[in-house]
Amino acid sequence: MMLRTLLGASLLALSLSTVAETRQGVQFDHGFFSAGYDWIDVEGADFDGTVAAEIGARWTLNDLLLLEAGLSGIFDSQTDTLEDNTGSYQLSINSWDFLLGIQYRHWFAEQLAGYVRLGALVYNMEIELDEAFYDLKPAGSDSASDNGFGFYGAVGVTYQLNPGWSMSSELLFKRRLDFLGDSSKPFDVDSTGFSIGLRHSF
Amino acid sequence: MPEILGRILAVVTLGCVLSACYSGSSDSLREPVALEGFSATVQADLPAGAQVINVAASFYKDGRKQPLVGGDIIEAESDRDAVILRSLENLSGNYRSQLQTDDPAAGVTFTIVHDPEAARADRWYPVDELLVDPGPGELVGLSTGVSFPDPLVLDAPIGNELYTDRSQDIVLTWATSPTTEQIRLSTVQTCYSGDRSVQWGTSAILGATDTGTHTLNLGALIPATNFINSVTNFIDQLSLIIVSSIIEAYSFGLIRPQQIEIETFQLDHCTVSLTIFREISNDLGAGISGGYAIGSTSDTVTVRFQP
Repeated sequence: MMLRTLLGASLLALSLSTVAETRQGVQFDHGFFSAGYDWIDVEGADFDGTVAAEIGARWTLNDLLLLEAGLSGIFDSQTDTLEDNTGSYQLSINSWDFLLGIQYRHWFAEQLAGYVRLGALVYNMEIELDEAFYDLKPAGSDSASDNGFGFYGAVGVTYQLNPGWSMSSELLFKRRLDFLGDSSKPFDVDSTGFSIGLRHSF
Repeated sequence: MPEILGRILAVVTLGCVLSACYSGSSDSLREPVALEGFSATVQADLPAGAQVINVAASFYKDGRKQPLVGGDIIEAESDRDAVILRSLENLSGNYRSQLQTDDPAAGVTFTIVHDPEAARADRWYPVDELLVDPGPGELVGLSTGVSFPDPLVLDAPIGNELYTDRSQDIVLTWATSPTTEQIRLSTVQTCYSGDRSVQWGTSAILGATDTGTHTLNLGALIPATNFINSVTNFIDQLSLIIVSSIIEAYSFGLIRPQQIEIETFQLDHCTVSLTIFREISNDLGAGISGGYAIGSTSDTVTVRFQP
């Protein structure tokens, strides 16, 4: 399922690139990659933070706005092992997120710009449960996955290193809405991440 | 306890020091747990004037208390309510809850069922989507019922009555009933010293005859010297568990053993909650060969001691 999402996102990004470049005034601007750390927030649960990465591309719409598409995810964020009358349990989350949105960019100086990103995301998320019963009954695992929508927003700065490369640093918030929406307790999965990245203009 | 900062909190019962001063009769209703097969110790109590039944239960196999895990739960059902009993402490095997009733004559039925989703209902994630079900345990299917005696209402003492000397007597009175098989007194003492507090409990059988009155000396409940010894296992103290539920005492059975040297405790004042239970025994369900099923009605009064 995750491979399918990754493939779909790549194809969509390629299509956007092709469509954008064929339209007058919309041109490919740069590709980007960033890595950082995400804090995961789920109401009622306490998940560990996790390393995060994002890869994507942007196309110029005009001097201030860029169209962007990217792929990022949550990689094995876990809860502590909790205990109750029934047993002990630990959950972990993995998610792929395809992001599509707009970036507003403002140049403060010749090499320094600030930006704001806003957009929608499509997620494919899996949650795994490991449960044990105090060695009185056999332990086991279960998992469930779901696709859904969400949104994201980010603020950051970018510094032009040379005509081809620039560095960026940003704070990115993502909300994945209504995970396991057909279940008895659907929930949102938020992540707030700080990242440092590189951009390359072709 | 983290929620009661600055307090010393202990759940203890008086040991031999106090039992010399205050002794009860032997328990004629509580049969011992069988060393082979399944046993149950079950109590349902209906406090005076309430429509809420306090229930507590433990189940045993071959004389050993059994924690229920993996989806096995004790359900208690009245005429208008059904609840899952929750453990005071994971793996303790002591379970309790409260349930509503409109008609106490209908009694309460305790049943062990395997309901993996209900057992995990308090968890934050959707257990209908994420569930490891290890299957039912051996105790699933055991069931026993409890009915209640006539209501018991205390006429004296009045609530918040003030006592100032350990030599004073507390005289409890209530209307007698022919349905009584046994009268039990359970107490919870909470003593305060500034922002510190210490709490302990006692439980004793007063007898099979319902005299309608009982007198006890305050000094038997609140000693002036010596240690108050803790108890680690409330194996036969379901009444105390129920009392703790009634008066929201902090956490019977959860506190590690410790000794409180009462003479080093600069006592400001104490509250003493006194609960009289009118108890009857009930037949145990099929497949249960030991233990007891007690139905009781009760009334609680809290008095103050300020030396």
